[in-house]
Amino acid sequence: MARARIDRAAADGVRTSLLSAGGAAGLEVAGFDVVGEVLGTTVMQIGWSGYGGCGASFGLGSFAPAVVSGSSRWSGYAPYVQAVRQGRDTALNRLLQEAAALGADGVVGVRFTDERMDATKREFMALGTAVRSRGRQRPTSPFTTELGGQDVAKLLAAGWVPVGMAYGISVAVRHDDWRTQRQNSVWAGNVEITGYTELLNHTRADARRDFTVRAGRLGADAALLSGIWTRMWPVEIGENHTDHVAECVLTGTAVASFRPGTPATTSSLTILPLRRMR
Amino acid sequence: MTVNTSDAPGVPDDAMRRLAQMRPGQATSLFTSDLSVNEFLLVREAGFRPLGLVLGSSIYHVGIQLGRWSQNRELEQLSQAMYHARELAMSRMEAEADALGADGIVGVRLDIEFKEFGSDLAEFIAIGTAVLGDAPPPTGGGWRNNHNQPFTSDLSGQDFWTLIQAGYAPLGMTMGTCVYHIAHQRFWQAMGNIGQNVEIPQYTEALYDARELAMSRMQAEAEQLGAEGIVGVQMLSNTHRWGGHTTEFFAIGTAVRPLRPDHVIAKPQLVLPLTDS
Repeated sequence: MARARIDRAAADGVRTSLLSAGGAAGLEVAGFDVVGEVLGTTVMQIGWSGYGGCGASFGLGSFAPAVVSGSSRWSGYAPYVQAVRQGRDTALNRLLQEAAALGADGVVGVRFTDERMDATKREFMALGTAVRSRGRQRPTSPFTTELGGQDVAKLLAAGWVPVGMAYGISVAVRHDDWRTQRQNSVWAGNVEITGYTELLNHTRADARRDFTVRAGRLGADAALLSGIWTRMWPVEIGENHTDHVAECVLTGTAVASFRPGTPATTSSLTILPLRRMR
Repeated sequence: MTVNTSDAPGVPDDAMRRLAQMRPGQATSLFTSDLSVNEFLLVREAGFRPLGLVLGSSIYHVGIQLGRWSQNRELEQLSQAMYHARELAMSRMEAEADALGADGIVGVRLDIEFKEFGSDLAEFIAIGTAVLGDAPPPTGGGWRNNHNQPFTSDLSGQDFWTLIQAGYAPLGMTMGTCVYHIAHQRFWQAMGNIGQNVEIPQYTEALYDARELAMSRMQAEAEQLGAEGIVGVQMLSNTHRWGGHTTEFFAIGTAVRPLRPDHVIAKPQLVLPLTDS
């Protein structure tokens, strides 16, 4: 069905796009033509997250470090992270295939959604507008970006080109030890819960590292983040004992500089808009 | 911001060529940043290079402190907790920036998020982009503040650019907080006021007092930094999860210092935007 839609879009002259008027004008200025709207989607069943305990020894005085999903293949939540990665990559690859079939050089304004359909099923969807350069030069494969037409135009004029969308993900689990429990008790007063801080820091640091590595692998010089999303929740692993899990996802666009060394071509004007400000 | 496209021939050919020459897998000196495209380009134009995203966080147990029902008073323990938790998040973010060798942090966001699990648990988080100046400030010295720490600023990239243009430099974010318990009215007083339009002096006093405390604490921080003034001050009041009569008054702003004696910016041109809103 997708094939038929793409073939029809490639054959007839009708160009569909998700762009705003401003975005379309921006692409016009930047030297791109719209070739159509492209979509990639996949539904994953994530039945087993691979959690088999916090990996810490119990007992008084035991100090539990946070175990991140990236540390080894067998660490907690590694299968879950694998499944999410597969979902995201598949959706984006399908979008890229559609773009390539249209002869596009890039996809702008990509909207990525990651939606839970029920307890185990998740839909990953990428939707964007494919564009083609008016010049002769073609990239080896189309670029993707979440940025809209205006932002792409501004980047290009300033000597930066979007390379692709990148994300970083990490899930970590930390055993609630005596220290966490003491700090969290009603009698503790107002104190920092160092164990939870540590858990979130570990997760975010791992997700940031993952993001940087992935953006770097694309060969980019910079990455502009579009979102940092963090969640922390308790899991009951046994009688009277609860551990805490944190998940962090970073998304953004990797960009590369194509005129290194030259100063920015943006110039700022001091203007006073003749409309009511707020 | 205007973008000059007339003297940039070859776009997007140059850009597409760069993509065609991409060497995936090769190590690059990549930086990350949560600035928007506008902010990123303006920060570059202001003469700063982003070094990376920096972040600090602290999970804190913020319990309740009981105040006397009919008394206006500050709840010092809660004030201290709210301040200390933010301070922890900020100093951890500054430590990350320091490790990157940054001159400052722009676009800092300071958020509080109460967690669904556990009672009275909140995460205090500070996120910003560490930047390095291309050249030292025209006045000599460095961009860092008088504690030799990277400057911090919660101004947007646009405001940061304007500030530098006008000959000011940020020194650091300054904040003051005061958690205050506002007294309930006594029964006869409440009865006496029924149906009348009158000022309730004890409420007025409480709100005045609490804001005054928060602002003077913020001012004290700016004095420590040797600032000329504080810009972009926000005065927030939030009851978080404490119920109606306990409120946090929080003042936050960016302390600035002058870079040159005159602060003249180019005369604004008048424009009529064709966009709505």
